[in-house]
Amino acid sequence: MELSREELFKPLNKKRYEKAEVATRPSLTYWGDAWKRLKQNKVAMFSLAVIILIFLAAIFGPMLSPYSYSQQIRGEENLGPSLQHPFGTDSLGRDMFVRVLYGARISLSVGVVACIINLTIGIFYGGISGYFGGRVDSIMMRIVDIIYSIPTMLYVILLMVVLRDKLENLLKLPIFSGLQAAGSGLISIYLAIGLTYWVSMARIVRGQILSLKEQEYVTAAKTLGASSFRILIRHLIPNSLGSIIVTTMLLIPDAIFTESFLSFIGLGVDAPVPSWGSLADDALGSIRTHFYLLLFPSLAISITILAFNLFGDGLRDALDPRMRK
Amino acid sequence: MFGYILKRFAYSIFTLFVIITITFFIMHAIPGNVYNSEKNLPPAIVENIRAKYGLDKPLSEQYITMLKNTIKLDFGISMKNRGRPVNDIITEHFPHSARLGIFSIALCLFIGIPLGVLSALKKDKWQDRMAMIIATLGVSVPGFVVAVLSQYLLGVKLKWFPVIGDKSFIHLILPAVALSFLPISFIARLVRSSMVEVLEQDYIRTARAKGLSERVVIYKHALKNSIMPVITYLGPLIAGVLTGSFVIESIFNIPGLGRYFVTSINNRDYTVTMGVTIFYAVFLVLMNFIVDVLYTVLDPRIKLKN
Repeated sequence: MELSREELFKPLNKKRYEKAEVATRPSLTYWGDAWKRLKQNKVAMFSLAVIILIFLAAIFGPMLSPYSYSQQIRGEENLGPSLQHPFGTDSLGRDMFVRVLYGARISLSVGVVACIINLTIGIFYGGISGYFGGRVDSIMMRIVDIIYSIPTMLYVILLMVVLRDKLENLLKLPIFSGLQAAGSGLISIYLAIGLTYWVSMARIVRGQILSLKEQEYVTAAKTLGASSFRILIRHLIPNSLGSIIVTTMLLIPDAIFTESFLSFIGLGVDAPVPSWGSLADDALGSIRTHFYLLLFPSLAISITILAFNLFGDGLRDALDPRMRK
Repeated sequence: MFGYILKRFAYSIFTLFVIITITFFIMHAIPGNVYNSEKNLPPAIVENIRAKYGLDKPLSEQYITMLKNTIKLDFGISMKNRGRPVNDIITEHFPHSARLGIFSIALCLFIGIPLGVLSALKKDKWQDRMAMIIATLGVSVPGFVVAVLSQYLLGVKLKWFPVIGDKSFIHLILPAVALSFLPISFIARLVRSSMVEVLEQDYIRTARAKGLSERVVIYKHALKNSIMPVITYLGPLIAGVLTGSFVIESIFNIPGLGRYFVTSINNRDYTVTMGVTIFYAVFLVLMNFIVDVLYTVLDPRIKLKN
């Protein structure tokens, strides 16, 4: 039996197959997928809630409090925790609750600002080094190796000493009057931490870029005549965002840790501005009689760093399942 | 092998040179000097003092003099402390720090490694969970908080330990615990993850198949490879204990170099700050060099690149 051409290529009934081919769910983007995985991680979500809460308290707490961080209430010195002063008052009659909240502003801002500086330097340094490769890369990485082998804390301390003195004079100039409120101590903490901690970021970005630049879409972009800068900014860096975010999240607690350490040894913010480290330092003298003065700032530091660490771990698992331990 | 060591050594020397140079120029970026803050001295006296410390010479000449002196391990004279040589200060105070540091590092290794091994062997059981909760807390609580809390609770309240000083071994327990709190947690996590990995390897299965007892398999075969990452961590560990001691020594009133360093910063005693920084840098770079060499000797899997 001969079949005609028309009979051989008869279209099938479309409706019969349509149902089977419908995808069971819309495909997920990388970020959607990561968010789904993150949501399943209870510890990470709880830490995220804690972090958001701390941020809100730091921003709005000092505004809502009836006291200011430097206000000395006469006749109410050295009070223990009570309804009126949840964290008590210090020897000058300042409300500790508002001081700890204000300290949160300082400590969190150090974490955030230092990380922005880290990010900017780290991404560009690592990006350029990884993308151009060859001699540029080996020279840039040698420099990073040397900086990496310098003990960080020593350099943060040394930079603090110098920057504080330098900035004190600079801040007296009229152009910087806006920055005067922050004080030279705080600004030098931002700079000192920002200028020393970018090295690990640069290394991670470089590693990412090195492997990404061999991918086909980069070749495609090159063929289309995209400039190096465009490829770096539009293709390579967005695709390494996952590990950049994870590294940032884990650098924030480091920066907060360092700030409290510096303030504790007397190198931090200028009095009367409180930071958690300087509050703990101030409490040392009266620890035997007023233990709560030390307890609350210490708890604040520990809870914040713990939350950031746990959230960072969760984020790493969510963004890069291969890195899961 | 020998070539590799030589190369590492040259590299360490170069790093040190860079560190010394950076330190020198950072310190010289400070406007004025220590005498500006004191009472208005007559200019002639300021000139004299500047001449005494060589500050009147051009920067390049000062830099070369400083390099020469550093090679001779001579860090100059304290500016605040009536002409006391920085070397004297280091030799007097460093032994206190070293004693505390060695004790802390021993504590880190003898608690951290078993904790990691335990949680790897009991993976996902309650022992593992407990150990990892402790480890997570450990990396979140700053050393000075541990120091002050333990000093207050165990020293002042319960009177189990002496509160200050480093006269005897018992005096050192609290400061050493505070210093090693964070590294213990870090080492425990490190050992756990590497041990989990090692236990899955073929040679462990072979060892078990040979009929060796579990104890021999774990302690003779698995442990050796599991603690390799700890050796790489030794460099940062020493650095951490050293910088941690800045605070811990002040809290426990131990006359170590760390405490002196902090005092020198607050006094703006720049020669001491710079001398001690360089001393620490030399010490740490040397330790890193030793650790590097040790690692290649112990782990034959590392391929030495020409």
